[in-house]
Amino acid sequence: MSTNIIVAGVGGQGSILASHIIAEAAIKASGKTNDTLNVRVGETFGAAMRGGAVASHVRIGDVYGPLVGKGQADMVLALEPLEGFRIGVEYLAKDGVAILNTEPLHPVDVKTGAVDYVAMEEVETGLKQLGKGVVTINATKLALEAGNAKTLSVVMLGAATGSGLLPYSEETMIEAIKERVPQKTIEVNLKAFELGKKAFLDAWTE
Amino acid sequence: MKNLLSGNEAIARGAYEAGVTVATAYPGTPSTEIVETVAKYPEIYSEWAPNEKVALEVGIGASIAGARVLVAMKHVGVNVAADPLFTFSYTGVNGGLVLISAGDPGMHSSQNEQDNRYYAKFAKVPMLEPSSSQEAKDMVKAAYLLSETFDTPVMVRTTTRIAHSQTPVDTEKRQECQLKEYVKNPKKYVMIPAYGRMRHKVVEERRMALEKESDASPWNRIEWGDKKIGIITSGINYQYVKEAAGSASILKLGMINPLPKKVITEFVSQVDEVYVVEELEPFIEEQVKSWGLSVIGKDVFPRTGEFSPELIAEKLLGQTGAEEAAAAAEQPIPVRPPVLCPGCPHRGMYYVINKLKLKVTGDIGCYTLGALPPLEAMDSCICMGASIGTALGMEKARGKEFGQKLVAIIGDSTFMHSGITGLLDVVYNKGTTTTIILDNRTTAMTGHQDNPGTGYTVNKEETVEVDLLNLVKALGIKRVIEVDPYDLDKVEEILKEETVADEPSVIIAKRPCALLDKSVQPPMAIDQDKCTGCKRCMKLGCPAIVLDGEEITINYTQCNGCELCIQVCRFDAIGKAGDK
Repeated sequence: MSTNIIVAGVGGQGSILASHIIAEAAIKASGKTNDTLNVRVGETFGAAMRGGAVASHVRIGDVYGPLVGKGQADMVLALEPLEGFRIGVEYLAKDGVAILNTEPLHPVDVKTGAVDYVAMEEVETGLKQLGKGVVTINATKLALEAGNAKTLSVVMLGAATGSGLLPYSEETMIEAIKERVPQKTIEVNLKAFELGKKAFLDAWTE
Repeated sequence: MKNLLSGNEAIARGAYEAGVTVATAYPGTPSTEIVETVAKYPEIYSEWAPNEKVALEVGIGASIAGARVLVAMKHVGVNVAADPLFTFSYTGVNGGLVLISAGDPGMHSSQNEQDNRYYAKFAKVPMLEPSSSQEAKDMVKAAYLLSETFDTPVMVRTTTRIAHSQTPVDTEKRQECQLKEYVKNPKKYVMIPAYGRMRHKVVEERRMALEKESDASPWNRIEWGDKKIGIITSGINYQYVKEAAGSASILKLGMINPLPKKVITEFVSQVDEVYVVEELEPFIEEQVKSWGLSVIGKDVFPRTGEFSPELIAEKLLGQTGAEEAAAAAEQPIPVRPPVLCPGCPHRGMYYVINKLKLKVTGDIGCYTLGALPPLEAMDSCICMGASIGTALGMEKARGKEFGQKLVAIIGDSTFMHSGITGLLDVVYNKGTTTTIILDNRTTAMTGHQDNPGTGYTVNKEETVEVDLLNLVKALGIKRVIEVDPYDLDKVEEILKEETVADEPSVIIAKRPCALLDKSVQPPMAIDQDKCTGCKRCMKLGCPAIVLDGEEITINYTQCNGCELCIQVCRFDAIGKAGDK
């Protein structure tokens, strides 16, 4: 048994932090149950700087390598829709779910007009053909609503938890979030988490 | 409870637990986090050295003085440190020394994907290769025993997938390690030819002893399974093999130099068909074949790039993965390469260089991104520090006129790493090349490490800040000019003057990295009534400037207010967001 998750986004958005929190919660969960829940986190990013595509792989359970196989992601959690599409078409499993933030960040070729950004409808239809479901939420807006744009990754963690696909409880996830975010921002992050969870549940229609 | 650690964090933890008291490195992806993590342990003296050669030399001194030492670098860094490494192999250690070599198959952030396993064989030092963070920690500890038992530096090799992947690790307490006694011993540590000849014999004896050790090493183990297929592998590929072909018999190598000849021979004799699964070069395969054994390796597996479980399943078992997936994307998905940040001080320099149609010999750092569209302002990029020597070579080959249309571009940290000697050559051999030092007060590319120019140590203690201007002058450069790269007119004026000058010159472009400069400037906006859509501002390649249908706009949240776009606009259409 294993759960394979890929957190996709753009450098600087917080996707790596989100993946670390997902993994640390899994370690916590295994500490509680005495199960040896194996965890692997692999990151694919080029030059260690902002603005490039980032995909962080989290694998929980009976796993060896750090990277999720093609067509084997149970969840694609995308902080940016184009990155969700990029990762989704390659990795989303037939019974996998893609959760996408709808707020786009245009790559340089789109900004210069060399190519067009992929339409949101195409992203949704494309991924729906591949997986079990696609859920879109405006997580950027929800983060601002929570009170801090930087809580975007925690909004997405709320949505991921709402999906019920993570192999541990909501309490464990919240515990992991509290440990990893700056202590002064716990309250705003918990609000972001709740907004994300609610947004997922409102949007989820199988 | 286990801790989730990256390979780099685990190596740091291993060094801590082994009682290491000195750690040195030059930052380089994917090795940087090792000494960043070690620096958090107050029991260990840690430093960023100016380059990998110096890092290893400091390590050698500390080892001879009796301490346990960790030295870390990326694969190409070992090229820089190779000179001391090969002779340190002769002298051996006093306190144990472990050298981490972090390779980058697939070149996620490197200029080549050389296979550093050959360094261990070439320098005749043992090499261990972990397959997980737990092994990384445990092997580093074992490496210190190996180092002190066999009187040799020990290399531990990782690759990006080990260095940057996180897996659970059991941590243990630190074992304090007393300094070994310091005894003057010139026959061991002064490598003049007479003593070197004696030491070479010792090295050969050590090599044979290490071969026996490798055969007995617990790091080389057989996991018996189906005996139709046997797989010899190591490092991250062990994990891939377990995933792709876990039922096969597997010989997992952890000590990869010297190879365990007896163990391998025994393994090969017990299975029908043997595959060697190793990324990059046939390091294991060629040695095993030289013993007269039959194995399959690079006939089926590529020499380039990274492997994956899918690749191994395909090559080994003929399974092909889910290819229909790619069909879902009807059009190619726009790529998203890393770009110079909004407000990056390097941008203006490249803009002016393009305007003046100058040729550029480049170097290694964030500014290498200037090679990509839309700036495309780079003609060569080879290795750390190469820009200046390369420019001089071009000038000498094609003459002064060519040299007047040419600049060398190098960052502050890279200049101190290995650019100084290149500039010395320009002065000494009467070049007229113009060198631009992009001084952003940090080592930005690897994540803002300090260097001799920042005035801070790895622990953020204040220290002497290199005076670049006077350093350059002391090398014999008479024309040294400082300029703010945000001032495009001034940059253009200086570049025009200096490139045609009949003597060498250095332009120091001073402006801190935009990510470190916390002073918030108001963002820019475009007055659409005045904008003619000429797209001149877009030639800056700024991520904040966006073509939105027919309109060019500036992203309010991304813009950091550097005002370069105001300077390039000929229609006075750009201004501070409140004013326009």
